[in-house]
Amino acid sequence: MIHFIVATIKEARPLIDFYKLKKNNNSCEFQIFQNNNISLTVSKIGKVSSALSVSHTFFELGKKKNQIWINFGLAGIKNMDIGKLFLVNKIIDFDSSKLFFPHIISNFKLDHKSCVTYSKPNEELNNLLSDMESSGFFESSSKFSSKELIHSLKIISDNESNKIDFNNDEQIYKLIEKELKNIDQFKNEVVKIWEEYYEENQKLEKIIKSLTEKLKPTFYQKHELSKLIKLYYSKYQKFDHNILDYSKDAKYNIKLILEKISL
Amino acid sequence: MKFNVIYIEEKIKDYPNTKEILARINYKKIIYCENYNQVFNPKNQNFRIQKAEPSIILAKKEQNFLLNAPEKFTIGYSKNFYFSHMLNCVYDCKYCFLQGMFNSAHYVIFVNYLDFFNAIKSQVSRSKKTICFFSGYDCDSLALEKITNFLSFFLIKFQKIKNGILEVRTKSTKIDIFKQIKPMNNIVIAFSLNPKHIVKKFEDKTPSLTQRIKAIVELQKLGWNIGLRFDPLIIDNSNNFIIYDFFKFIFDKIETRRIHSVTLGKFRMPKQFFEKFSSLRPNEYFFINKENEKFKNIGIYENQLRKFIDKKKIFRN
Repeated sequence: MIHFIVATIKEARPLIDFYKLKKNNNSCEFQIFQNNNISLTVSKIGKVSSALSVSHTFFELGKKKNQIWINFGLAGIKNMDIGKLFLVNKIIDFDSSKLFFPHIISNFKLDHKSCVTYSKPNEELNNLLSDMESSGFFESSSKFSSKELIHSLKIISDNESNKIDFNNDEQIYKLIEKELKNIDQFKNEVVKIWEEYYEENQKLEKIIKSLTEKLKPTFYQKHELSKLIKLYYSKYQKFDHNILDYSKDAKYNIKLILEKISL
Repeated sequence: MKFNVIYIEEKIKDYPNTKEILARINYKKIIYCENYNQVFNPKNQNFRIQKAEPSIILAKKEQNFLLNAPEKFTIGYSKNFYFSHMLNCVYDCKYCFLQGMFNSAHYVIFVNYLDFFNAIKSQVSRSKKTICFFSGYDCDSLALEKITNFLSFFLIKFQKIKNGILEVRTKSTKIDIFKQIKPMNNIVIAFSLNPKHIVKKFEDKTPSLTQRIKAIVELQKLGWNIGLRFDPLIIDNSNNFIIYDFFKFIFDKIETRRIHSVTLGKFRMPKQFFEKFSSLRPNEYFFINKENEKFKNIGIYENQLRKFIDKKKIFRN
């Protein structure tokens, strides 16, 4: 699943419409909108809120590790045109000086820039992107996913000479709407990475979950089962439930799998 | 080679060697960091994804320039150290321990080559015995030479080290640097070798066995000392005859007299690396498990080797 984390509903609305997301009424603390593949959480402004919203989304939507996390929002910069979309390649937390480095590959066609996350709105713009969420978002989503699947996208909302009217919903909508195709293309590139490296793993996790529910293994046996099922899968490219005897316990079934993979 | 991103530690951005390396790289963007660990060490990274398109990280090695080699590891000298001017390798051997050891597949190049040399100089000055220094354990010493110029710098310096031996471990056949300077007695160019079908199946992106033998022959003609490293020797479905033929194939072509040393070892990986390796490469984990079972009797292969080379030159690891 792809999780978008967006600070305000104004910034979120174009994405909600583009991906036809419906409100998840089970979530009280944060507004979550979703369809089958995509969720969008409105985090509210600030790095702490952003971090909390990632954590909330993770636990609310099935606690699945190694999903795609994209922080999207508006940002300021001194010398770039309003409306330009950037991928963040380095995040600097202004308060703690902590640095984070998202993984950037050549298939990402977007221009990229470093971003400084501030606790308060930064009135003195410089040559780096200024935002209030990225560091909290990245640090928190790093607990739940691999770095290659975590990214921040920023559209320039203010520079040294101009700024948009943040109270004008329509202006914000139009600014973001222009870049939706690029945002979607970027998302698709990250999805390709996920499909290549994690999709199969997710299938395996499902198999392991169903087996552990049926066989009720001990903690150690669960670890063994998980490892052996992965090996079985890598050898046969599928998992045949018929090789197991569900009337017997986990220990017996571990032996059965071991025999099948001839270890 | 093209690189999308080059990471550079701020403190070394003006080092001459940093600038020289950058001049030899085709790259799109530089991103500065304070310490290479910020990019290289975070846990939540996927080695396989990064291996598809690694970046270069230029950094400064601050300490521990030389590390003690494992006790049993020797090519005939009692004091042994290893060092790495680079972390990670351009090749993609499926059994490689680096993927279990490092969180990232980016290539870290430590640009302060002189500090490595000074550490060696200091170590030999305190010893009456000959000390052996192994290069190429956390990387391939030769494969990225066109970018690093490490050996161009280091070999000339090492000529002055009278009681030191430098092993340059590699699978690379880019031997130009050894053609440009006079052969040195205290250098051993050590080639890692495996049977042809193993190279094809498990040593992705590496030169073929035939290309490596060709490079060895060429280096021998120039007068360089050569080491042969069957370490790890991967057996796969090979029976003893196949391994014998593999040894024969090599020793028929090279000059045995000019072989400095031969090492023989089975695949080994510390347990904590092996756990990570098993999740990154489940297929190979399965294979390696079986492989180790087969390798209970390494003595068979040592006996085969003795038919081609003096047993004093054979070292088991």
